[in-house]
Amino acid sequence: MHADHKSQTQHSGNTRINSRQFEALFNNVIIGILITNQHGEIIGINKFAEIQFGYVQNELIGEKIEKLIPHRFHNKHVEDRAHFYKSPKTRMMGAGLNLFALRKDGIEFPAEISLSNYELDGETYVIALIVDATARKQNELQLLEKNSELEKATGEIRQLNEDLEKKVTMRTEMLKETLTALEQSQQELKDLYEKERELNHLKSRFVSMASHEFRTPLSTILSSVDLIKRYTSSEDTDKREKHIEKIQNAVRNLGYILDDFLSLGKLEEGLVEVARETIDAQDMIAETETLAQEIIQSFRKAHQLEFHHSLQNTSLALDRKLLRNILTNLVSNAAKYSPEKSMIKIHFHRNAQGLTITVSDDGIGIPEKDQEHLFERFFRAGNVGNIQGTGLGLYIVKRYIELMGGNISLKTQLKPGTTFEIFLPQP
Amino acid sequence: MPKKILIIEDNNDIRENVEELLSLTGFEVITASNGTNGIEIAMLEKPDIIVCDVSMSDVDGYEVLKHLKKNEQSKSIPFIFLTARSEKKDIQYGLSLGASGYLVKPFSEKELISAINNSLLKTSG
Repeated sequence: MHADHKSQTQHSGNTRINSRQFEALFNNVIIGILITNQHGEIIGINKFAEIQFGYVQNELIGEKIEKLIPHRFHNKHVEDRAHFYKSPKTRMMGAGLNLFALRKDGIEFPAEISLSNYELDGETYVIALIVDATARKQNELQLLEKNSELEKATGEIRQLNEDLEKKVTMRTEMLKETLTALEQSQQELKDLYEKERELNHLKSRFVSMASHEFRTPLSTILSSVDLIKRYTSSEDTDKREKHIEKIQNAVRNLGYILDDFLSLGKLEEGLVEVARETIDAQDMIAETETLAQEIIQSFRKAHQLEFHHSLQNTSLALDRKLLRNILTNLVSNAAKYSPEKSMIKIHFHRNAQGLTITVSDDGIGIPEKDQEHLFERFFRAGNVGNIQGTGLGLYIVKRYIELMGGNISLKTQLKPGTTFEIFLPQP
Repeated sequence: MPKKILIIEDNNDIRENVEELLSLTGFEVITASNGTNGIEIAMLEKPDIIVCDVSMSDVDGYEVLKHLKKNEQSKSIPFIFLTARSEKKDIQYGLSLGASGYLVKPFSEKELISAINNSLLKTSG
């Protein structure tokens, strides 16, 4: 009992909630509280609910609960209420209902209402807790608006993204094209640079070759002239003549070199034109033989010349000048690169297609590795030693023959020595 | 006693003409028509001076000079290049090997003889 007493003392003090404290709680809680009886009449209302609905103290006691509900819901509410009292169920706040309450001044406000019930002396009472949901609704509305804005923005962003992707794809495509174009122009530039480099290389080779090729015969000329000046007496006639011949040969050699340079220049500029004329075959043979004899004599190596042809009284359509140049080059080469007293053979053969000329010698031949480069500008075979030459002759010969629609080939199977075969088509 | 000159030149016309000119001038002239032969004759004959071409098919003039400079007996023989190689770098290279003269073709009799005399003076003095 002592313990009970003690506990009672404690509870009747500050801690145990008594009816006064219940009343204080009822009137000070920040939520609207309504209590109705079975008839839907308000039997209790707290201060906060009165403020919510705009009524003064006890003004609502005994009034039907429908007084606080907008008129348009009255009928339904009366039914719902009857139903509720029959089988009362607790209803939590925010049960997904869109409820509205009516203030004394006629203004509606959205409300969250929970319902619970209790029985006392055989009667059922309902407690309603009411929260003004205006702010929440507004928030919800705002949230909805925000959401829809957000959705709109998201949609816009999606659209922007799609546009951006399209643009990126397009730009990438353009970039690719630009890159390809760039690569192409780079390649073109590289090619041009290579060409330029090759040209410069050719130029410098030409200059050093030209310098060397001119200086050598010029040295002979100048020193022979100095010697002729020394030989003043009549007994020196032979010596003078020997040097005059040396000078003549050197000058002729210079002439050939100059011819090569001029021919090269004209070929490179595309200025060489084929001027065909009708030549009697016998005349052409005679001219060639004279030319070959002159060339061979100028080399002073006592070469023998074999001349053979199967041409009857026929005429040929040829460019006299170009043919002369071709034969000069080939016969000079034959004489230049073959030993003294050796044989140089020139053969002519005519068939339905055209004229074939072969020039062969018993000279040093052309090494196999050099054969593929034989017709390139400035190329000279590895076995030429100190024999003078520009490296242009066979290039010019080949170009001339091609201009006349023909071809030239090296007959490698005929060894030792060298044999060139020219074919010139005839109409 | 006449000075002995060795001419190393593979071009027949030029070799003959130089030989003729220098003989007429009073030198004793011996000749070689290629580099290998030139080195042999130089070692054998001990000429007072050598006039040598550069571009030769077997051993070129630069190699001839390098070879002679390596040998105690031939290293002090005055050596003149007589060549169609007229570029500055060729001349500089030739002189850097120890040549006492570098004559570019075509040359006159006067140029040749004064180059030879200058080289002989340089080495004897």
